[in-house]
Amino acid sequence: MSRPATTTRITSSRPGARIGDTKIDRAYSRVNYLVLAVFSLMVIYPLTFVLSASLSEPEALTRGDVWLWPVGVNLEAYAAIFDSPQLVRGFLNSVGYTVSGALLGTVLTMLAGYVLAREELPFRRMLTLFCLVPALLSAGIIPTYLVVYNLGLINTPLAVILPGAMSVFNVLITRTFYQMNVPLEIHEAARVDGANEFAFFLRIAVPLSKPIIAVNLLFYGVTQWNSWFNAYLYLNDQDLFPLQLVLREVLTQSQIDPSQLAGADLGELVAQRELFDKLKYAMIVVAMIPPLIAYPFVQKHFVKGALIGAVK
Amino acid sequence: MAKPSYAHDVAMCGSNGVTNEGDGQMADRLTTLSRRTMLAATASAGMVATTSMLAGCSSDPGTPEEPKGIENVPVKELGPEASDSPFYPDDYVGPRARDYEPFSDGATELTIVVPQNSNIVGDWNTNGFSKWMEARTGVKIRYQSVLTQGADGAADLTKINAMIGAGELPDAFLGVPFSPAQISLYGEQGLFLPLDDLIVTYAPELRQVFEDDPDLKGNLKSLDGKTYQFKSISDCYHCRVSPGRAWVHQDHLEDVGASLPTTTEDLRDLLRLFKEKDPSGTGAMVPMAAGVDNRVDTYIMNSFIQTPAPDQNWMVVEDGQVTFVANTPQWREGLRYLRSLFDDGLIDSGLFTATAEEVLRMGNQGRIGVGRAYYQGELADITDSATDTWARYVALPPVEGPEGVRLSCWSDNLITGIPLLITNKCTNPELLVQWADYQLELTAQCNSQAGEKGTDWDWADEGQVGLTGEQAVWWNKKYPPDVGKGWGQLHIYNFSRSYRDGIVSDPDQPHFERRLQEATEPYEELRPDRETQLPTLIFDEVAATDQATSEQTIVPYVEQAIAEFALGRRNINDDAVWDEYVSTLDKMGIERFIELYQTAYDTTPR
Repeated sequence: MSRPATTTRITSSRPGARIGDTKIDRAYSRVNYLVLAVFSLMVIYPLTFVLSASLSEPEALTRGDVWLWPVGVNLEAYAAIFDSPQLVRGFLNSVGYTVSGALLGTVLTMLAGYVLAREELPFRRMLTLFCLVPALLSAGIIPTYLVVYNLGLINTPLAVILPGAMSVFNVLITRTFYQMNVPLEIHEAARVDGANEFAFFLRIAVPLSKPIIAVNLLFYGVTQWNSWFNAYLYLNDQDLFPLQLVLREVLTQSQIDPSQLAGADLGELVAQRELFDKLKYAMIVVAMIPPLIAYPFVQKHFVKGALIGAVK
Repeated sequence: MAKPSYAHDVAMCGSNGVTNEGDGQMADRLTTLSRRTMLAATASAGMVATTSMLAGCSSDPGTPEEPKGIENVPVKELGPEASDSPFYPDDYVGPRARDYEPFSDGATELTIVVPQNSNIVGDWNTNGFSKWMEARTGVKIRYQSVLTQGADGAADLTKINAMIGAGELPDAFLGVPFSPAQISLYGEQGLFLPLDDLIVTYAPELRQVFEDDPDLKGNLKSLDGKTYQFKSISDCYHCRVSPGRAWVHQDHLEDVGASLPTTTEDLRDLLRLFKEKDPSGTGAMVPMAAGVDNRVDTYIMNSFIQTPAPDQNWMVVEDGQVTFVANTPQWREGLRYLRSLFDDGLIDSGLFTATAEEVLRMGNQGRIGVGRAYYQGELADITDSATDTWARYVALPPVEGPEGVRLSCWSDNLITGIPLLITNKCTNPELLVQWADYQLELTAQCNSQAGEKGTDWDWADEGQVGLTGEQAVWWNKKYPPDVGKGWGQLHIYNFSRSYRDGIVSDPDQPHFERRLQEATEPYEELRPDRETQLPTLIFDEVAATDQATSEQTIVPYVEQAIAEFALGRRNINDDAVWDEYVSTLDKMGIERFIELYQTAYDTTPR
């Protein structure tokens, strides 16, 4: 009776046993996995649903038959998207705005963040404050519109890219990154070796800052990809619209205003609803793809960069 | 008038443009258009139209002068009947096909801001109807399209406000959803030109509509008694009761062996049969469906007290006095009835909380017995086949309450469409007035609606019948027309009753609108007197702000109370609970709210 008990005790207190495998730790892991699994499901389910819905037939959708897997699989919606010159053009425009917005934003942020990180910069605190003020207090739509209008940017692609090209939040992250990772000592060493300020920035600071470059590219890219407001406000020519604005218009027009419901409108109504049901989910999928493709490439830098930048 | 006093005038009459539509988002956005930006806007737009500014800002509707027309310009008259005319039914009242000549050489190009619309219009500048209008009138127009609706379908004037603020004004706005309060305010401030005299001289078609439908003239006027808008009207018969119409699934009705109920108790029995016999065979029958977008009170409460459409905020008119019905003893009786349905297990919280999508899903599964919906398409997907679920829904007429009340949620108010608003930047407003007037002619109207004559639509043959069984006027060969052919409903139109009835309808396979008409007829017999219905009101700018604010507290409170009383979360039979509801409304300023409506009722030109 007592033997097995003794054995157990000996086994568990043997010096070679793994540390940290106690009951409480195992319970902790289990809870941890459970919570993570719930979170993953919360993220994965909507994605799966949208993908399934985009492949299903519209009738199944309105009947509520689709909840996880596609019903009546077909690719009509995707065919319709690629048939629509507006959506294709919007997609290409969005790619253009995203690439240029990400590059421009990153360059500006690197420059500003690096300079603000250098302690010998005169009026450094004042300059930082100066950057913060407009970030916290926005002038509002009409004054901004006036600025863009008077600069002659209305209805040009620059109106989408330039306003808000640099985010102060990103500058602060970048500044902290440089403060932590490019200390004064390296600078002094480089000076001794004969590097001037530009050479130091380009040949030492920039190569050291791959993580923060990745973070900036991703932040600016995703923001630009998802944004529609600048385009809505400043663009008139539909050929310049980014995808998100085109999607917004499709969404708007799928809303049926019952007061406009006249007999003559039945055909229109049916056509609109069908188009919308067919396109809605497929468009979400299409709009989702580029960030999903880009993310894995920057992900390894992303975690590192955002974390370093966040610690003061 | 000298410039300084003009500025004074503007300051006197304008501070911020606020909608009266109770759209919180919109009100928020519009408050950014403050008096200062408004001043800057008008100032930077140049002091072109000084005449309009002389108008000052008297809000006194007192004795509006009859417009005399433009001096030394002969009054334009209706054109002769076109050689290519349709057959009209005998009692036809509405737009007719007429011949008109171009009146402009196109020397000046005018700019008009229009709503972006890629489903129907496509590119406004290359659109077929745009070209047709240019050939017809000679007026050269550059269209600038702007997205004017938010993703929820509500008006979104952010960009329009920015343009006005920046002084980037076009010659006119067509189809931009300004609220009546905004049109009134901007008109008084001189941003929009008054059109009264121009209409007298240049708009024979519109003057004809004034004669055909005497309500329109007053409806177009702003608070100062002037007309700033050239507007479309649609005499849509079935729309008059759509916000309060209920439907019943005919097959389900027959399956349970019931007939159309006539009293509230009949209705209860019917719902009980639906529940017990489950004609849907799904085990999840929904005896009665309604939801957030289609409130149930506009139907059911009319068996207890006159209850108007949701946008009237439970206001009706009694002997010229605006009154609020949702705190009356009769209202309480209605709530008691809902509560008893709940106690019988015939309704649940879904009746108040279901979204349009949820209702549609239930309907498509065939689970709905009685449904409160604007039209059948909200209860089941509309298809081309008349044997599908959507076509099985027939109107459920109002039922009689215990006190003998049996009314429909009917509105006789004019149903208007998009406006044309000419700005103070326009130097030849007469061109635009005439241009808009040409759109009211029948051929133009059909071309915009349906595309190209001959390929997309045509006149009806002699003997073909319309919705009411009389001679039809027109029919659609291909509908909707291809993108880029017409403007849909974004032109200035006159959908008179005769015009709407004039569409060819096969008696064996009636047109969809005919179904809606049939669903409206039993409601018309039960409509309340016109004098008791709240007319379309314009709130002045201060009242518009107050109205929007009060609306945001009062309306959700009443809506919530309906649900809570019905679902037993508040006890409708407890006098203390009821008194608390009434006194909370008092605290929320229901008196002031009613007063705002009373003032608007007294001052809105009619």
